[in-house]
Amino acid sequence: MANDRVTVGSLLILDAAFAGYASRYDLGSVKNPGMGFFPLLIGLGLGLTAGLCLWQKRGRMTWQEVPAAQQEAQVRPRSLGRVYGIMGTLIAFAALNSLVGFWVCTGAAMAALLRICGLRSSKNALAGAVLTAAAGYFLFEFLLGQKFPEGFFK
Amino acid sequence: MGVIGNLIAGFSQALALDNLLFALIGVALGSLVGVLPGIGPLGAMSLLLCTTFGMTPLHALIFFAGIYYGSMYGGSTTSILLNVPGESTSVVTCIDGYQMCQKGRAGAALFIAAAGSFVAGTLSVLGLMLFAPLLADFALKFGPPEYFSLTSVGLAVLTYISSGSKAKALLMVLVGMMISMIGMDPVTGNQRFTLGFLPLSQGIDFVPVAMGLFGISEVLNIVTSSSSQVRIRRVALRELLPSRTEISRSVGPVVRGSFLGFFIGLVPGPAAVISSFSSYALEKRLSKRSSEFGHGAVEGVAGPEAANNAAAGSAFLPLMALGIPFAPPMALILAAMIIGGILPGPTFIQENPDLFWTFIASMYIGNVMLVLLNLPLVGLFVSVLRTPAQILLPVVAILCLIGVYAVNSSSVDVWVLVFSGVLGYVLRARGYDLAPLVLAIVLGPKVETYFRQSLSISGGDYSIFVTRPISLTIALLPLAIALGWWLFHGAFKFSRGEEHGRET
Repeated sequence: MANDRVTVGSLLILDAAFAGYASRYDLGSVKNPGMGFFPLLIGLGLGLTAGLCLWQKRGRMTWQEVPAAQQEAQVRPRSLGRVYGIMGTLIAFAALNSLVGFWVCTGAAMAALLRICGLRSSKNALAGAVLTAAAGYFLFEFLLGQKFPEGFFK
Repeated sequence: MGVIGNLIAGFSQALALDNLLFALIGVALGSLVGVLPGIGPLGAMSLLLCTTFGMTPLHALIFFAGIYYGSMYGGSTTSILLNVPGESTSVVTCIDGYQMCQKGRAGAALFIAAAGSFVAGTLSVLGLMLFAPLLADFALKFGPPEYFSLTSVGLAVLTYISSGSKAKALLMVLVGMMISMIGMDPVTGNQRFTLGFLPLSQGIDFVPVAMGLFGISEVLNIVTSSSSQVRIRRVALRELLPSRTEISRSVGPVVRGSFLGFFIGLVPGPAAVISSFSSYALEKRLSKRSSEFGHGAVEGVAGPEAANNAAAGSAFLPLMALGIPFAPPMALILAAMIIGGILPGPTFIQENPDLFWTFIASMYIGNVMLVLLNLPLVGLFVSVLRTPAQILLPVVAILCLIGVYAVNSSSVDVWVLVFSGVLGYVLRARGYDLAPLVLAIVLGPKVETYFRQSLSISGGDYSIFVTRPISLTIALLPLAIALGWWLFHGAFKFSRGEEHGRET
């Protein structure tokens, strides 16, 4: 429940920023809407819906809920550590791939993900990383002719 | 040339070796994707979108369509053998399919699921072949007000039929529309909500968002769920034949499921899932052996499997005839077509008859391939589940990263993927349905464009949306269907009540 309020509350804050930004654009008129009109309309709709959700959650639940999904969210601490580990790896990949080079980053990310997901052997993780980077390079750059950031190897 | 002549011409091209190969790879991949829980057709198609750069539009269309309807076949296999639905469309098949398996009728259940899927798939292609040209001709009369009604009603229906809370579905639609506003204003071409960041000037692409929401978030979701190594039951080829009683009990559900699925497939959103549940409910109500449902009733496998396959086929109808994707995988097929320089819409069939009829013929062929692949090779497909999650999950995550970069060669897309993945994980855990968000990103700009164009045509008169007959009809159609369903439901309950009264 509290988590859900946080989610809806976050959407409400995001929406306030969005609607505020939309109002800075040319709104035009009701008969001749400008480029800010429709986004403002969406922002107001989202604000209203989120507000209603928050208001309803204060009292009894009248909107249908999915308790199973919320139960799913109650995960073991170890699994949560894995989730944070995967998120961290993905963020690091997004931040570093153009600097370090796409395929080096791919290999490193693969090794990290294999370990996070439970592969115990470091040797196997390293082999998996090299194999993934090599296969990716061969398939996407060599066969399909796609260009990826070279980073250090430029 | 008539329908038959066009179809013959289509078959002559579809039977070419290259087209057969793309259909085979597509349906085989689709079956594989269907078997694996967590990797849906949307994720697979997102990953493979970059591979369509080197394909002709026809190859891309055959390939992606094969993945989509192939996944519907594959999903039932694990539902029956392991009680693990490979796809959300096969959840309902677990109920009776797994019970049949427990009773030693796994082979029969697999055969009936495959045969039902084949019949329904073929019937839905027949429907697509007959109705798509008619609808496309009719859609030539559509202007911006009609398209506005269609897209906005589509989003409204999507909100209503989404799983879980309607308020949450509405929130997701509005968030999706909000994301779709970033980038260029579709009417004036000015930039908005880019915060001065140049890469955002083209807007946020739907592909990385879809891959993040359905691919990365699924990886995170599986990591948190307890997993155990599956024990797979072997099914010998001779066990596949169902008994005569099982066949005769399946005919009605398959036919009803095919028609129900075809019409539900035209509705925006997760139509295939809804159709399978609706078919199950319908069969349970109509059956004289309703007490058997949940304990291995063959109707509970035949009906839903036929329905979800029919829905998968009919989902192509709005895309081909109107150019509007009503399901997330259709949006990816649209993306693949656009990459190939083809824009579906009312004039698509007239301008590209070869492409359309070859595609239709390839769907017939694909359905045959699926039966031939899935029944004898059922053991092979299921054995993929033996791949440990600790290897499978990193591979999926890395493929998402590579695939998303390869589509636009953009590092921003990688960030969008990561952000969407985390967002998708959080939203899923809170019980939000993600399909409305993705579809709203695709339909949002269209809704705005048609809205503003309509007002421009009418000089600011809002009555344009209700004074044009087609626009008004489209707007009122969901209400009419809801009313009709309510009346039918009421009448059905009344007659059942009377019967029950007579019995007691």
